[in-house]
Amino acid sequence: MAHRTVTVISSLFLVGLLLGPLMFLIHFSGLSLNLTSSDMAAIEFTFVQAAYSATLSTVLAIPVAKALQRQNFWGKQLVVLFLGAPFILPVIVAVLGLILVFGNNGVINNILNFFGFEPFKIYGLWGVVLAHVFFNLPLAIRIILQGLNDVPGEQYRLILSLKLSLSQKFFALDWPVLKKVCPSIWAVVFAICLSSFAVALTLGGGPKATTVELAIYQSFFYDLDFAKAAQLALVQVFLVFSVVVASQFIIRPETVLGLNIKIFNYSHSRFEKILDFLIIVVTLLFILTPISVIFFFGSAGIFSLPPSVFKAAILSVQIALLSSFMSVFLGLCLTTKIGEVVGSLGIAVSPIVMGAGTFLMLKNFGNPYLLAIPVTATVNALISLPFVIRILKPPAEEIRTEFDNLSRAIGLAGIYWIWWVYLRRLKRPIGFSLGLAAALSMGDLGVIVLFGSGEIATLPLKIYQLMGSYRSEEALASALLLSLLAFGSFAVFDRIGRML
Amino acid sequence: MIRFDNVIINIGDFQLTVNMTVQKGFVTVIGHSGAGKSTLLLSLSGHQDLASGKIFVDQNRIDLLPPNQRPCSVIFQDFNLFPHLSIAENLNLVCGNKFFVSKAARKKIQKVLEKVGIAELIDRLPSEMSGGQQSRAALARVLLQRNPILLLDEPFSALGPNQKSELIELVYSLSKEQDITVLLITHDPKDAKQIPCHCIVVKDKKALGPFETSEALSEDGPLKGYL
Repeated sequence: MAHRTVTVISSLFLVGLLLGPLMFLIHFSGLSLNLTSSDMAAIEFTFVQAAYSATLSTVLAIPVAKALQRQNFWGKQLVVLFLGAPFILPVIVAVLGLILVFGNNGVINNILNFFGFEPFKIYGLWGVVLAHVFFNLPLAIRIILQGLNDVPGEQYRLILSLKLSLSQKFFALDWPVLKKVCPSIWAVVFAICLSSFAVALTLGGGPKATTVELAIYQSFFYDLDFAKAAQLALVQVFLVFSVVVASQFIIRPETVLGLNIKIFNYSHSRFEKILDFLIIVVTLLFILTPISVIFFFGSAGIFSLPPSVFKAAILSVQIALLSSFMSVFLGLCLTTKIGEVVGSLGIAVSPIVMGAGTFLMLKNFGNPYLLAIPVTATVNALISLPFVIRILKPPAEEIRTEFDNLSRAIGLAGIYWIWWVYLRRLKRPIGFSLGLAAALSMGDLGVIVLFGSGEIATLPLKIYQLMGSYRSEEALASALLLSLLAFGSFAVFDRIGRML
Repeated sequence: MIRFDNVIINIGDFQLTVNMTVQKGFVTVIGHSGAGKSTLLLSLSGHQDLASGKIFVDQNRIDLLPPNQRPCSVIFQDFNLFPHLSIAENLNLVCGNKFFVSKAARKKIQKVLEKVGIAELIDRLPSEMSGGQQSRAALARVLLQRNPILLLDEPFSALGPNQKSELIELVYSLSKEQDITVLLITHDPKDAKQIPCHCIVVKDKKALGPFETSEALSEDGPLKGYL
């Protein structure tokens, strides 16, 4: 009962935080929708890049997941762990890494040039798609791999004993899993890419490669056309919300039957083995090379960075700390079904939309730039909230199921229950969530571009400014610093959660 | 004295009717699986709502009270201790719910643990103890709660016959010493024979009795067909 009250209060607070800016956007838009041809082009580009990104991420993930499932080798767990790295890698760092590898003077274009092929153009549609695949391919691989691993071992034993051909095996074993998980993955990646801002900001732009989010920013920042920004923000909310609703019909619940006895001998041919390792190595190279080049090229200049970079780094850490604690506090209050639904609203209302609404709202009362830090921290907290709830909800529900009778029998309730049972049992997922929320906030290049200025800049914004002024060495070194801070904060919080 | 006054409990399609008075002492509750033995105890402890009727302990109506305000302590089949807390911390939860284990509380806890024979395990986690030791720790918490009624929902069912028998003896002697009324759910009629007690039989959607154990376990008694 008490928990329900907390959920209701937190949900109302959250809905207020999300709806408040939206209401201001509606007010500012004047309830009219005058979309120009360039706005329509932005909407089209948003859909096209999201569709390409989702399709490529899903299709490419299938052979990689299959290879990882089929082969058992030393370090396999480490490979799966590395696949999680892009999730917490700051977007701006990844973009810098991708530019170094796939950019005009990158390794790939040098090779293409050597063989007389057309160079790969990193700026524009394909650059945006490449970055999105970089971020989402690992996610798709992990979900498909989990689906394939969930097939009961008995089923494998049976199929393998029937001596079927490769295609027959595929349709008997893998196709049912892929049919179930791939549409869900496509929908999730599509929704993520629909509201991608930082990638479009750095690799897109121009009339041919502007997403709706980027168009909002441009109207806001360059044209100072707040009404247009508000209209586009509402379009963006409508687009994402429609996709989220539509995806509910695509995403199916997982059902696994069987004793799930693991099979470790898949008896595959030498050709399959070589092909699988080749696929795994190429995927690892694709994921790890952009990260490695940042470490390689950035380490030289890290000690000679200007004080403004360290100032930005300190601000990023402060915002990340504030944001992660806010996110986890809200997450702990929302570990119910309703809480999860309300918490996920942050996905539909993107950071730029929230930032734009908040900016317009605050403009009525004073100087919005003065509140850059709390607004950025709050928006970042709301963005990581769906992930935090996903981590905290299952163990929190388990606590309530397992210990409800005992707690009621001994009259353990309220603050004492939170202290002795809730927090103590949840310390590991809390540590993990704090780490994740801190890392996501640390790397965020969203709302801060609206509220930031020369004086107030987080490290990602600083890197973007350095890139814009062609100070590549400083940008690379700052990117390395940002990566260390993001991975470091994740590792520290996760470690604390395990140690306590 | 516990009085069930025309009590009806509904759980889905299942219904249990209870109309009886249980005198002070040791009482076993016997019946086949799914008969409603746990439902009977949970209605008394406040973990199961009544559809109708009243429950009195002595002259006080208790069925409207929340579980922690009823004069009952319960030991469940499982999840009797918080696995992440030491025995001292687990027992401290009924010593005033403070944020830490005070010296006075620790002393009190040490004393009851001595009574149940596991004083040396005060700082252990439940996972570092055997099933029997965990049951003793749960029993120690019951002693700290100082409630006049103890409800045992098959807490010893996972133990070996010797350990189970030892624990029933311990509960019996503690109940005598502390003047506690015990209701023990069991599947095994041997448990009822082990100690002088009365017997409630739960069958055909009704709780019957209490009977003298010899009467309940006789060939023509209410447990006919179960034994």
